[in-house]
Amino acid sequence: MNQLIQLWRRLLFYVRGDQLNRELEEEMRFHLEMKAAENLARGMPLEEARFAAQRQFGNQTLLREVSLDMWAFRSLEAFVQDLSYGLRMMVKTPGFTAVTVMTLALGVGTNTALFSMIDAVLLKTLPVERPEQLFFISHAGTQGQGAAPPYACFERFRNHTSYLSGIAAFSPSELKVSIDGQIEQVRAQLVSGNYFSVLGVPVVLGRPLTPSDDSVIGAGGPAGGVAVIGYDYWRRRFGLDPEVIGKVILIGKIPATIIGVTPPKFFGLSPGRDVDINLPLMLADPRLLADKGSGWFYAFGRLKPESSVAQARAELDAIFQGFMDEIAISHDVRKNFFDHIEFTAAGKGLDTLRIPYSKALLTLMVMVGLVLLIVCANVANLLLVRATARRKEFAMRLALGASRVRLVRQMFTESLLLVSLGGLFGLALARWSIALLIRFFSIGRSQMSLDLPLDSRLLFFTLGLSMLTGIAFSVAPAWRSARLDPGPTLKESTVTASADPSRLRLGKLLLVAQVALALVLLVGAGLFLRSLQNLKNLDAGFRSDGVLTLRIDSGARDYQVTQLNRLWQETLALVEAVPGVSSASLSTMTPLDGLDASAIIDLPGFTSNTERDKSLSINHVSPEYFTTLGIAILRGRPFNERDNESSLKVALLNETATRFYFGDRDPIGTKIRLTHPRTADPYEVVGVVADSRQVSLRQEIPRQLYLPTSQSLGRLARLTLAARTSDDPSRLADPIRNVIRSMGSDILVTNVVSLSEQVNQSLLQERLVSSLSGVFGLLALLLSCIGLYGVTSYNVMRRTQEIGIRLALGAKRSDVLRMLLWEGFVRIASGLALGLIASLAATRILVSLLYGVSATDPETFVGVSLLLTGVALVACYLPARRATKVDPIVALRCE
Amino acid sequence: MERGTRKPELLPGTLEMLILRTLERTAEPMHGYGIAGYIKKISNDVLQVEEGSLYPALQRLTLKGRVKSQWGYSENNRRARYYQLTRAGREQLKHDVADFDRVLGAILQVIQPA
Repeated sequence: MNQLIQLWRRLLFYVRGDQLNRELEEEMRFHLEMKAAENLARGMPLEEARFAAQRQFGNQTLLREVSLDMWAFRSLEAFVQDLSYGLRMMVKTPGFTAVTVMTLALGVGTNTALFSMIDAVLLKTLPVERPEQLFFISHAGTQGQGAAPPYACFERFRNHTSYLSGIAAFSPSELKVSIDGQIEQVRAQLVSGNYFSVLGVPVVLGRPLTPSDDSVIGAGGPAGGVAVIGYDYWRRRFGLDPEVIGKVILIGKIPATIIGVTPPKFFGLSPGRDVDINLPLMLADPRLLADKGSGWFYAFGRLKPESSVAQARAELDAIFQGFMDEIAISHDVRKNFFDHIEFTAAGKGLDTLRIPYSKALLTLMVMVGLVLLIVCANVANLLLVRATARRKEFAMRLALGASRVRLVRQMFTESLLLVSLGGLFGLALARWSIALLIRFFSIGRSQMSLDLPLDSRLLFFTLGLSMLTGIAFSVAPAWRSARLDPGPTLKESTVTASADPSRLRLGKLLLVAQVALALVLLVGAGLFLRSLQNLKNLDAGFRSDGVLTLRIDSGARDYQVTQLNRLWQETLALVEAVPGVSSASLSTMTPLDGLDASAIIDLPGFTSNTERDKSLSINHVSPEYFTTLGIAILRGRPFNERDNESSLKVALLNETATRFYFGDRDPIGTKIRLTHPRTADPYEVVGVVADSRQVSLRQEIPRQLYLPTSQSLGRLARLTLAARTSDDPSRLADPIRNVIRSMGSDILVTNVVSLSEQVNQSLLQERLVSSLSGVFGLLALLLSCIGLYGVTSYNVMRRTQEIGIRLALGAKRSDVLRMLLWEGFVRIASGLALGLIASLAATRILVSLLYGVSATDPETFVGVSLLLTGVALVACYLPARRATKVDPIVALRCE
Repeated sequence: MERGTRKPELLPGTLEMLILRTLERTAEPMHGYGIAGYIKKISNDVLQVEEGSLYPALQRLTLKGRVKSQWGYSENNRRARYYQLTRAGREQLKHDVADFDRVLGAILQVIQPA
């Protein structure tokens, strides 16, 4: 209660503030007079009496303030005062403010943008219930880890598990669906009935899938198929219309009713891959469901709280081993791929994005952190300079009775203002750069749909970063001003003001540090750029210009092999007839499309200890493949029309395979047996083709086996079409699509991309790293130059008198210029030296990201050093030139 | 703020207590100068309250509602502010004195030669 009364009184104070002040003044005056009278009575002369009284009384103004301070919300008031003062200062010096705020915005913005990427790719856990309890269940062996075990085994898991509260499955797939008569392509996912309940994901509309919806093969549920759509899809396609529930979509000929919508920000378990429609697993191709060999889906389970991973894994492994014992599979293949079950944490989703990008992203994060350091150094220097210029002001305030604490607090408040403004702009910058980054990633195949929102996490990060930088660079100037001695400072002239050696030293140190950091960044950027160039200039073994590729899904589930072959032949014929197409081909893979398939062969005369030596990459191709892609035939002949289902089975090997298996001997005529997948007839080698990169430009060329599409090892339901033209390949897109569509509405065309673009996409990570590091490097250079420019021009201003004296004493202008430039050069050189040492140490870590350049590539180092020195010297030269224009008389007179 | 030298030091809360007690003993309104003079006289010049602490203390007491003030005219017809104890102040004084006694007693115990 007492507190309330006090609060009330304090508020009244605000209303009557002036009056109170006056009253107190009068009261104290009275006291003073009484004291003077007392002194007089003691015998002091009049003047002295008054003077003594006054002296004893002390600083009235200060006393008044302190007394009234009892009333005021002191800290708040002071803060408001500081704020308004800071604002006024900022408005008075627009140039300084602009430079500082922009510099801060750049530092904070770039860091925030990159952090959001790292967060989305590396850090964020899925928006599901208790993600730490989820684990992927995959088969693994000596050759690595795969996806889920075959479906029949998965079913057994489901029935026998005591340590998992649920096991579910999902399989990503691109589908063509028909909604309201309109055919469109969607990113779909086939999921088991308990998918949503195991994940613990609610729906925002309707209801989720249940196991009963996933019980009938080929149809979904007893009442027909159902679908749950994604929030983003709901927004894009249906405009958030609640009437979407109950709509029927057709997948091929199978109907599915939309029954629910998942929440926003839920993307399934594949980060970066948006899911438009979730369908029951039972709608998958029945052959896959029955297939005992392949892993075409992912399985995951939720661990019961009281169980351990080891227990659950052991139980499932036992079932798995039992299953594997029952099916016919080669001992080696089983050991390599199907040896046991592994559990991997699923809390962050599949690793597909994380693994390739983690090192690159972390490197970039470090780089952008260095940029932030430079920003801090820059702003610190700027503030230091300004604090020195305001020494007289501070001295005056100290003399008037301000406490040092108050001064320091005020400087912090000003820094806070700058930082807040910088942070605000930085946020805007971050938003813009994130949009750019997303666009960078969403082209073509990679189509990454990362959730990069500006959410509260990001906001806190930005704020926290701004605060940290604010504190970091206001410490030095604040410290300095707190140590000021008012007396001498007020008396000194501006000229000798900053002869303070320690201040100069700090400023120089900061500058040198900036230059060093800038060099490190530029060296990194240079190395990355050269790596990218090397990769781009690599002879990939094929001609990437002028070729369009697209993926064709025949949708023909029921076709036999002969029917499929005829279908493909017709397709090729139609495409070749399109004007502009000089040749066309079909294949299961094209170079650098991200696909890979392998087979295990048995060669007469070749024995080895490891299974690995007997496996090679396998590609089914049509006869025109090598012409279309510009891959040279080195020996023998390519495939032709006479190689069909009924003729002799033929095969081609690439150079690497030939060298590996045959050494210098001629492989033509040798019959190869395939053991996995197993075939009845052997394939006779009829030629050798040139090497070409397949999985990535970096990886060394694998051994490759080519088989004709007409003599395929299985049903080829999906193939990639490649068409060569002398014209711009993108022009072929529409005509070819139309032609294929004319063949039947079941046929789905996806991934239309030119081969050169495909090559480019395979270099996505390298491009990302080199472009971003280039941006950062240039940014660092720019910031250092701003710093150099600022410091040099301040020096010039400070030493105007000195320069005037020199000129008056007979020095030539060019001498003065040379002197100033030399000083600048010394700073640059020391920064350079420091930076070189740091770079040599730092680049070692980058080795795995580089290609074709060593971590200490001399060309890069020299080139970058020259660039830095040149630009930095210009930054020094410009203000130095102004010095030479000084009129000695004016300079001598100025204060 | 420079407080200058004070000899001897007063515990912070004591000044307020002294002011209240002064007002109670004199039972008549006093101005700041008078209060300081009274304390100085009664304590035989040992406790010399400086203006630097007096006025903030008076303001604090006013804020807390322990004293109330009124403008009046002094002996030599000058305007001055006169302070008076409020009932709350009287109550508070009792508590403060009791507390002080206890603390003082405790300190004396510790200082006592063994």
